[in-house]
Amino acid sequence: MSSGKFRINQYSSDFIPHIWPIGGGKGGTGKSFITSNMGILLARQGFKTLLIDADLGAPNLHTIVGLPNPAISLSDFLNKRVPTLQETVLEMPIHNLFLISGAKNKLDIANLAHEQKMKVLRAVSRLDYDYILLDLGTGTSFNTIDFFTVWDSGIFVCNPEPTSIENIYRLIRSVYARKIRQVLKIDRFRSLAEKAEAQNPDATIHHPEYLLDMLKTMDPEQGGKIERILKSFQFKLVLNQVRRQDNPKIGALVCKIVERHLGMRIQFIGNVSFDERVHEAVCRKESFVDQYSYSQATLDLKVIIKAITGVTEEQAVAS
Amino acid sequence: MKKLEDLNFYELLEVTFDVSPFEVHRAYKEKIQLYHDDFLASYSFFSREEREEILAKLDEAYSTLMDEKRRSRYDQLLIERGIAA
Repeated sequence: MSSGKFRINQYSSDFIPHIWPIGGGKGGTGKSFITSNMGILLARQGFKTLLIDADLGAPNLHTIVGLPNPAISLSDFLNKRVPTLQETVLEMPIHNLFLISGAKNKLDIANLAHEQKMKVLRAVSRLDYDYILLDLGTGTSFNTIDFFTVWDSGIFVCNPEPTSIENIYRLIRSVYARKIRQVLKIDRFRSLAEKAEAQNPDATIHHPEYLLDMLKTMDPEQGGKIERILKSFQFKLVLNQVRRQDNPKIGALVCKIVERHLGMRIQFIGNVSFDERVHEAVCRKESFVDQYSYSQATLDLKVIIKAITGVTEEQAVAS
Repeated sequence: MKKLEDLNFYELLEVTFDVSPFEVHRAYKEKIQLYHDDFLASYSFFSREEREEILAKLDEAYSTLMDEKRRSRYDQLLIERGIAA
């Protein structure tokens, strides 16, 4: 499989992202599990795949993929012990799979300075892999949201539970508000936010769509431009740990609500079934999709991979 | 993206202009469930006021489209506004 640069026009319908930040509003949703096992499946299908542990405060991707003591990590690049991010890449025992670990990150690295964060983002954009999956931190910190808004693509992971759904909506709204802020100049955004908050104190945090409404009234051209940008996002939603008694349509309905009421397109790409053996695989630091290749959860992940790559496993292996 | 108040009843229920009463009923039931405050998929997205507003508009849409005379008057209104053919 050749290492391709799929990016054509970031805002065109032909744009197929190859960098996928993976985030969720809260801890325990299974982001690291999803990231690592998606990475393994992509690698097995012949795609040169890099996993990056961007959960700066609580990295654990190295543990899940069975590499407990990595010799080098992201902080070595940030602290200039190595000149390029590529030099922190570790080759995994699985062919085509690579990892940038966060294992040796300092305890205070979660609070990256702006310039350091931009350094990481620029360096990731220059890496040459078919797919780059970034396992992000929880919540709606600036670092997490920046990763989503830099590449305008990402995968949200949540569980079919009220707490998880609540937090994923919060994350989505934060990404939405940040994008508007990113497109507008900061003083214009502040002025807009003040006007919106004067009408509704929750406008920027809970209802960023009010910002867009106000902008479309004040400046229809700029508002239309931002609306088109929001629609061009390549965001996906995965519902993880879905049990038999859960409504399998929840994920699709969440996306419908976001599109209908925020005007932001998010594609639901699949449920991943709950499986008790995930816990065993994590404890043994083994690949779940390899150990239980015929489990429903693995089959579900393959469906998700197809939604990302646009090809089936057979087509990918054959090419 | 249209605001809630700008959606006509057909758009609100996501049905076509020639929708049957059976389909109106089905669509209404789906939407009522979606916007109910107990439903997981919409949990925390709306404030209580927003939810009540949406449900009230759904009720109005349902009662209008299920009543032949009211639906006919409503359709005529949409035609005059150039929204329906």
